[in-house]
Amino acid sequence: MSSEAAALGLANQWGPILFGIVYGLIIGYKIDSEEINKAKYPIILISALLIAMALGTYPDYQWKLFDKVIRFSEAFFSTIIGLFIMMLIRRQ
Amino acid sequence: MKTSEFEQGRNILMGVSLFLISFLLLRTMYIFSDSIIPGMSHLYNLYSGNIAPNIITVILFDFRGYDTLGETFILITAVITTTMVFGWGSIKEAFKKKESLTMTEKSTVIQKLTAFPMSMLLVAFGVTIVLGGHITPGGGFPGGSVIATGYFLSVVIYGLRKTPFRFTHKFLINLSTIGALIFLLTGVVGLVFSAYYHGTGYYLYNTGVDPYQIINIGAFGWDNILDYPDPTHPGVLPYLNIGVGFNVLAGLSLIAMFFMEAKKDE
Repeated sequence: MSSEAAALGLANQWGPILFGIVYGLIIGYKIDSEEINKAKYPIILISALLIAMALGTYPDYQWKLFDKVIRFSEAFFSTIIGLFIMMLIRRQ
Repeated sequence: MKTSEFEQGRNILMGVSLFLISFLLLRTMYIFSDSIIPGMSHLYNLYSGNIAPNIITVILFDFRGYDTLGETFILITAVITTTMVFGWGSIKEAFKKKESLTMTEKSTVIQKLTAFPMSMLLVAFGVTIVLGGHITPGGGFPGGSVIATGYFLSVVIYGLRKTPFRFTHKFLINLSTIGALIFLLTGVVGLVFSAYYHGTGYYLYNTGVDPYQIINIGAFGWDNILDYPDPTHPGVLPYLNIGVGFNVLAGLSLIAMFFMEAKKDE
């Protein structure tokens, strides 16, 4: 972990991010990518952002950026990202 | 009712076996009372906070680790039973069934539009519960159930054949087995390492936290390579949650799938 990341309070946060993406990739492998379209992409992403902000209340899992506490559930959002990545790969 | 000679012999054999097992079990319990150190429970309560980040996790994975393991295998047994009762022949796809439209015809446009985004969000929420299991009263079982609920919502609205979640029997069986194996092998890691360094093996020993300083395998800036990378340093406990999560999501999805297929047979 770089010193910049540690200074920003991002050190050791990437366990839930990594395993969220792994879960998303595994489940997304079996999702039909044709179902997702230009209308559903932003709806799911914006909803995911809002829900992730609402879920980010675990005291140990909050991010600190420039002395400001950012409430954001990285496990939730990284799962959505993992699902999208695998769906995009499967579409190719 | 007259019993044959074979049945009589078998009954005698069963009686002798039961007596032997009972005798050995009772004798073990009697001897075990000599090994109990008074006050050990009090000491453990003092130091349990070093093993897991909070008392919920201590209870769930340390006091009741075997219970969680048992639940995992109860689920596998339930899936096997459901397969035998409702999903007869569907694993090998021996019967090519016709698609039933009774469920999908009832779905409205709004349901069809919103079900898939909702399912994806439910999956992500389930994963959040799984990955936060060691710091909140969540874990693999509720998280896996929520993920399976997402799949079930999609199946109910779109029907089994048209659902965007194209889970197959083989995929779910593999996922369930991998989940159970993650739990078992994580426990074996503790058993092997603590036996090698300490002389006595502890099944489900938290090798990532290592309260007895038995294993010190550091790498990439970690104190311990098996420690889950997050600020709470819970060791291997999240990996157990991840394994249980895979097992439960696959098991419950399989049960839902078999129920839907049984519906189609009518």
